[in-house]
Amino acid sequence: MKPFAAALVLVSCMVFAQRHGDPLTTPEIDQLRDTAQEPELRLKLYVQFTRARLDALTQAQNDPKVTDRGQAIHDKLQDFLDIYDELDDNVDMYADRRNDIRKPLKLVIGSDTEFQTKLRAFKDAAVTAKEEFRQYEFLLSNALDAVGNGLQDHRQLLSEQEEAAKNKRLIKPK
Amino acid sequence: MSSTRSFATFLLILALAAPFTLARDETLQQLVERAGAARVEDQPALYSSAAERQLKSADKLYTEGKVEEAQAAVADVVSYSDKASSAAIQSGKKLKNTEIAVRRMAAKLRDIKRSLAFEDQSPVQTAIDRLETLRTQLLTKMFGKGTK
Repeated sequence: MKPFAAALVLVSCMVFAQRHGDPLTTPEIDQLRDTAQEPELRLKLYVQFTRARLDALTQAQNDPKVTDRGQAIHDKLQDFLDIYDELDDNVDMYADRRNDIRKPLKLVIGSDTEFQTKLRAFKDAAVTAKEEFRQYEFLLSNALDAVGNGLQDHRQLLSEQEEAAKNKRLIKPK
Repeated sequence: MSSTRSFATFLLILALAAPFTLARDETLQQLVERAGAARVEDQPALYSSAAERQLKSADKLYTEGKVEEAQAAVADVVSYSDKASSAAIQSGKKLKNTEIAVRRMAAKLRDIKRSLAFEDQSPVQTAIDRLETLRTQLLTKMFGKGTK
């Protein structure tokens, strides 16, 4: 990597790793409150919030009013990744508790596929603006990895849950 | 003859499964001791694993209302993440994996923090901030080389 490009990546990574704000808005946090015992509702909300961040990302890519596009896209990608990580953690949590999450898991898997397709399309469109792309290349690669691994893990979990359900080893939703 | 063969197969399976059973049943203290004694390039994965374990414990303890014990577990998450990051930076190995592990733990801590009473949120926020600083250090190491 050329020194200038490496410096650009380094600075942008440092700026965004140092963001300490919550990626969720207050109304979103309010919606999530008290849903810990309702896997279906909680996972549905997380999918909705993650999708909203991805839509915002696409918007930042196409909005002619955005001045520092590289930075703006990086911001949106970080938000997407943070919320996707939380979605994934929640899936793990319910799986550990042996909750029957087959229904919301199908929704999550469908969303994983959708997110993966959108991120790939985003990348294809983004590489043309090289300097800008370098600012968020690492994060985009992380996002694609996270969604790819998530899709694989969620499919595996669904298959495990289907098997466990046959033996009545899952806790049914209320 | 057939029963002898079956018993031998059983023993073989037992022997092959032993290391995995051992790893799963290993206590936190044993894991941390193993991490401390390991080669520096193996330490990031082991300390990350210890941090992830304590993160699960913290979540459970907060849910059970054991706030002080949960805070101690959160402090361990930071301490082991710190050691994982230092080892990754020192060895130059597992930098990306460690960064991803730290990022995911920060995400989980944010989720935990939102479920807590306002007065209990501060130590969790401090931990999140520290993990974000560790991420910055890891990223600096990953991308810093080419800038010199």
